[in-house]
Amino acid sequence: MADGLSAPWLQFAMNLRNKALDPLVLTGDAMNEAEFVRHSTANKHMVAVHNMNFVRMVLLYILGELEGADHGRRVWEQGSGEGSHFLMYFVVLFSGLTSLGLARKYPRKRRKYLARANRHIKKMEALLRDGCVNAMLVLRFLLAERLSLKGDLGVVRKAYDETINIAGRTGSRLVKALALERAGDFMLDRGDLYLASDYFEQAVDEVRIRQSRGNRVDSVFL
Amino acid sequence: MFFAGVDLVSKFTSHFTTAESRIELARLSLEAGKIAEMKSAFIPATQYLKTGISMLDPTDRWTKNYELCLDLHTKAAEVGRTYGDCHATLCLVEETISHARSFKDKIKLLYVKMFVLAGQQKLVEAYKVCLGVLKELGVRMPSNPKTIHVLIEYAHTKRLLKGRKPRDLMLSLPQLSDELHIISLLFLDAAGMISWSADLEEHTSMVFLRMMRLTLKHGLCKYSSFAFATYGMVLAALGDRNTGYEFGRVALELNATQDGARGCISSTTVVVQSFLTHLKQPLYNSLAPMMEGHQIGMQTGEIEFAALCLSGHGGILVALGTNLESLEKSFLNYGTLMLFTSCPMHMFASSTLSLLPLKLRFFANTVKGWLMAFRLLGFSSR
Repeated sequence: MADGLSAPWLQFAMNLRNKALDPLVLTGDAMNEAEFVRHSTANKHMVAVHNMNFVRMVLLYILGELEGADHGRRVWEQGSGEGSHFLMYFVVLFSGLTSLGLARKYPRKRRKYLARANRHIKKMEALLRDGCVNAMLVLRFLLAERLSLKGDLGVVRKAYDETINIAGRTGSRLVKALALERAGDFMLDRGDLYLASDYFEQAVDEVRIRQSRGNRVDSVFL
Repeated sequence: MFFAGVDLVSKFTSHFTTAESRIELARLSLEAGKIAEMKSAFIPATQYLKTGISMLDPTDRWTKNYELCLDLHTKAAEVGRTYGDCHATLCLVEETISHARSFKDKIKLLYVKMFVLAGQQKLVEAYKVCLGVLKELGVRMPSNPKTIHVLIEYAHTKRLLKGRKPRDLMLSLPQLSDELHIISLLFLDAAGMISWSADLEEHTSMVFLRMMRLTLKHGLCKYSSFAFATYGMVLAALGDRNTGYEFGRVALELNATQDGARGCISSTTVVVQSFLTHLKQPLYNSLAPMMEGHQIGMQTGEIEFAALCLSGHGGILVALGTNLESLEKSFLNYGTLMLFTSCPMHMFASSTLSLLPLKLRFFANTVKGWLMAFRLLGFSSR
């Protein structure tokens, strides 16, 4: 059984590979979510708990459980922060995507969720100004998602395409698959079935490429 | 050939009846133990050193052959710590410390003791050992530092920097030759790691800043790379990412230029690659250095940092979206490898990495607020 920081990630991988009874709960061969929280709290390893909440946020977002992901985000933000650690891009990306997803889902609370997403976007813009190349992909994806809330089809398509290209160039396969899926969803909402099927086909191709390398994961959420 | 010879002689220890021949075999065993340790062959190294100790008469070994006996015990403790044999190592350390004649003789043992305690999750106890040694070495740290102490330390460090750039510092600072200062930096290095794990935020910040301050004051040595890296990390957390990144680059250069700095590559790598490199370079550029840092750390005995490098490597794989089957295998391999090396250390390492962001955010939040207040009051350290 893995420990500390590794266990939630190992279980995350297992959940996405259909190796857990409930894919939404980080319980399986690598760890037991409730036991992990109890043990870490007893040993005052609160950051291990926060880290687990972060992993859970990513998992729930991928599986489409936006409210659960938002809860994970809140717990993460209350208890910890990312500092200048390289995981900050991941934190910002999934927090932003969750907020924007909720803004889409609940139009009446759009302002509240947009404010959160804008905070993340500003952070990435500041990093990019300092020459941080890794902030580019996160920023583009969040901007594309924000535009998709009210932008016109051509502009949004261009924004998603930019995100997909950057993700492809930087080897961020998970982000590329997510961006393709989100672009497909947007086109579907706008009634452009031709473009939607094109993006979904690309997303499926991306999964197939990953499958050929031994991955059977993303088909769960695509 | 040398090992074969020592092995052969060791099998017939009962034939060594004279005191001289037994002492000679003890010396040979010590040499064999050192060489085996250098080759990361910890189990044979332990066997050689145990044979060496058993060759010395228990009744008078600490009086008649003090130096040899101390060397054998110290090396056995060091190997035991690296191998992860916590309980036996701690007993050996306590026994040896009770016979040591001077503080200098105890230093290596206290270093081992500190890490063994940390490996047993007795982090506060380990940190106290560290503070005790630092006090003996003349490095006074507040027993219960507050944010104001951290701020004052930061101001002192900034004053000593005199606005110089990291690369200028590397070229202009003299070479540190005072052994006691070098040992102080070694213990500060360890103190930073332990206080981090023990959730002692102000202590950690104090230690990192003090390391940099001592480096600026006395000059460069093999531990300076870690001081540069952690100072860069502090700057990045405070928002000065460009300077922080520069400190990280110079830290890596110092690893290549300073004598004996190979022993610090793992610790420097984990800080630079986790907190600084990604500020200017693509994340995947950190993958190979992290794995290299792990391998070197395992060879040089920096096993805690070697474990952190491995965890960092896994974290980058996750962030890049590596396919999950290989990710799962990687994490399982990491767990197996670290459990084989040292079970408690693995837990220690895992928890340490997870604490890093919290520490930095805490530091950034508190110090930023205080700095703002200072600047408003006209006390800017710049």
